[in-house]
Amino acid sequence: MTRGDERFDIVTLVVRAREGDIVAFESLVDEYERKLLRFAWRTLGDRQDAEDVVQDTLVQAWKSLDALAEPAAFGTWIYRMASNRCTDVLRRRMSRPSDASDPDDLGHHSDGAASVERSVEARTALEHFTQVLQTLSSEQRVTWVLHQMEGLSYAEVAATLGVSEGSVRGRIHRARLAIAEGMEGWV
Amino acid sequence: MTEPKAPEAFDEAAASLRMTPAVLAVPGVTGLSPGLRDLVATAAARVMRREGGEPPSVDVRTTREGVHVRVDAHLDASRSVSGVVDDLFEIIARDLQDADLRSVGDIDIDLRIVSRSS
Amino acid sequence: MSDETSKETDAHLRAVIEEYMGSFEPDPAESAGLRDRILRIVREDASLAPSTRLTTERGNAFRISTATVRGIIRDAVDSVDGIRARSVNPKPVGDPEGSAVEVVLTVAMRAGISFAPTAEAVRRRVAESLIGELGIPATSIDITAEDVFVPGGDEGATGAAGAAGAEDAAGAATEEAEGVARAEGVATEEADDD
Repeated sequence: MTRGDERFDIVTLVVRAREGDIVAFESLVDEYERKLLRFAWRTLGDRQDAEDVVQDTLVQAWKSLDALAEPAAFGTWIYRMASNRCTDVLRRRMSRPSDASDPDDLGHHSDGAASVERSVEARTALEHFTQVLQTLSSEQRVTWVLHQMEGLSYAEVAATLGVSEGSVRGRIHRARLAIAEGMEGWV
Repeated sequence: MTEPKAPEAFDEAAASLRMTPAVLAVPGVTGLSPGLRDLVATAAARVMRREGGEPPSVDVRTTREGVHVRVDAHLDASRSVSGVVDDLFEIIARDLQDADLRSVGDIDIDLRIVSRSS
Repeated sequence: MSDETSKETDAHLRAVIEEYMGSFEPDPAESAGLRDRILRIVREDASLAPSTRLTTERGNAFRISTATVRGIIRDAVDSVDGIRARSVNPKPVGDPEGSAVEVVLTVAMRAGISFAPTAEAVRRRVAESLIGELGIPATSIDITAEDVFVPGGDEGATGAAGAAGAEDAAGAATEEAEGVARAEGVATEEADDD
């Protein structure tokens, strides 16, 4: 939503959207849809799952804008909803019984820490890295992507996920160890 | 549940069929929304895998007092909302009075403007 | 692992991470469908939103989605240079109820704008718009400026950090806004002039 060259500020957009201004909400979608899709896609590794997360997140945002006490915090709020949905998707994957007959079914193992040796042989460091990421716990993975790829500081990650900075530090530390260990010999 | 009809009872379906194009023809009206009753009927039809995709229409029902008409309309910005509302009321009342030789009793019009495009 | 090997490892790992990140760039054409789906659901949801009960001058009582009434008022407010409508609250009043509305609204205004004459302009446009677009007069229009925005930036003074140097201008305008922040008025004199 603009007038002339100026984009409307986030508080104006959110206040208008929660009163039914669809054009204002479209503006919010335009700003956040691509970022959220990239974040969900990087976290989940699956395009369709990522699109579902983004669709559900933005629709839920429209329906529950009243619940957002601070319109200025829309960005943090929307990332939190998307992160929670990503965590749910990852947990659901990990609790499904392993499909040993399907070699393409990477990372879907009943114990969260799948042994990397058992999965399909990766040909490149990138493929191997993708598999290593899948061995992280859901919380570690979401936290690590937010910090490492979305570029959020520890404080911002903590605010987004609604956890303490100490928790964030711990998760990222454990994620880094797992990644370093998993990538040994590949980098 | 509708009450048992007398031989020359008011024909709700016919009234709806007449009124819908008349309502759509009012300047400023761009379309109708399904009323709640239609939405429920469509949902039920889908569940039973029947064709439920009928276009939205004016909902006409007889009541003990007379006739109840429900319209959910979409407008454009060519005229003031009140102007369109007054025209709709006039068209609906006139249609009911013209169509039925007997008095139809109380005419209760429940009109909701759903949207207005600019 | 020696320091050098460790640095090499880090560099290689960073390279893999960069490559991983790069492999997930959404193509705008591909995600057009996603945007359309979201907005379709939002529009369907909006058609179920609450209504406001109004009455035409001829006495015909009708309901109208509150979002539509807000939209009419918002457009009028936005048409005043330097003003952005924020919250719009129309309340049906009068006898019969809904034959008039009381309007309470908040706005963001551009730094440097003088509030009192601008609020006057907003009140005039809103009053005209309610008569012309809705056909229902306003008995009062209450305007509060709750934020200031800086031209060229898209953050309000109370939002996240604004551009450096613009904060002084924003500060001065906020003071004026706080001093003359509320303007109530009776709009019916203008409305009757036709």
